[in-house]
Amino acid sequence: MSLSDRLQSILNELRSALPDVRGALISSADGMLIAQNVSSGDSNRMAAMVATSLGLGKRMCESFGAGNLSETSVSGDAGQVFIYGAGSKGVLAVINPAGGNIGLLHLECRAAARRVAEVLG
Amino acid sequence: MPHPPIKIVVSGPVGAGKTTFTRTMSTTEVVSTDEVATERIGKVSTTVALDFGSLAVGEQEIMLFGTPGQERFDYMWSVLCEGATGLLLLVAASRPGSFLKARHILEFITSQVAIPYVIGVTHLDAPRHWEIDEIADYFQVPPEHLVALDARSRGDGARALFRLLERCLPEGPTSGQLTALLQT
Ligand SMILES: Nc1nc2c(ncn2[C@@H]2O[C@H](COP(=O)(O)OP(=O)(O)OP(=O)(O)O)[C@@H](O)[C@H]2O)c(=O)[nH]1
Ligand SMILES: [Mg+2]
Repeated sequence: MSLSDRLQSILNELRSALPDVRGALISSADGMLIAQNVSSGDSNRMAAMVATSLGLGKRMCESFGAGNLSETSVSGDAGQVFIYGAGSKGVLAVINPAGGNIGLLHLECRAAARRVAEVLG
Repeated sequence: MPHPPIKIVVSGPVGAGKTTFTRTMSTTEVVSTDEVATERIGKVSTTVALDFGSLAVGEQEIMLFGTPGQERFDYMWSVLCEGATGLLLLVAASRPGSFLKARHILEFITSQVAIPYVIGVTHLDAPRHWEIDEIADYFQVPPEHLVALDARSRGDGARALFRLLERCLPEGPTSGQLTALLQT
């Protein structure tokens, strides 16, 4: 399987494990879209934004003495975006409607982020 | 009475020297958000969120906010321009292919917030580069809106900032402030 097929299948499995999720994408740390499973919106733009958020989060962790960043999130009244570091090169983002089982979501997404990190090497 | 801090936005295309400028000029610890570049852009890393630094010129505190240069991060331009007093637009004289992007950034930012700007021309030491006058013609701005600098040089950076402050402050910066800038 090619690298992008492997990443795509991680996203597809994540979507089947979390049926409420509205979309998921993987981007490089510098904001280039690598793989996506997003039904609406401009995924290239989302990939850039996710990298901005993670990049800023990393520096916040340093400045606030919080160690290495593992994840960050953004919440609105109609949904949430969870952003996970995937090794030093990648970022995994998942868009979830408001509410839902966040514990399960984190469990699945953290595991997926580890697999993404392995694939990206 | 101390003046309120002045917010300067440093923008321009990839590789112009925005991050370098902020690191050169800031006297406080710089917040940089560079990540390894996936594409070949002539350098290892690229800014994904912002650069932040600050310096004092006499009593006047100046805050520097650098933007990313890649167009996919264009939403950061308006985020960082909010409440800004002036814009330093950096352009690499050795990368004429980026001038159109620079013009686009300049038009975008000045249409969002009508702030004074100075175009800082870097990489004038490159073997092949455009001259300042040619760049002024290209941007269709008077040559006094342009200033030559090497983003790695503190003296150059201070002069560029001074030129911008001349355009931002109603009474203009004082010669004491230039001396202070050069001494920091
Ligand atoms: N030779 C030369 N090098 C310069 C000059 N000004 C800046 N540089 C170098 O050019 C490079 C500029 O890189 P950055 O400061 O990362 O550029 P940037 O504008 O922040 O780029 P992005 O964040 O990717 O948009 C650095 O390697 C600087 O050392 C100059 O006048 N002459
Ligand atoms: Mg930069």
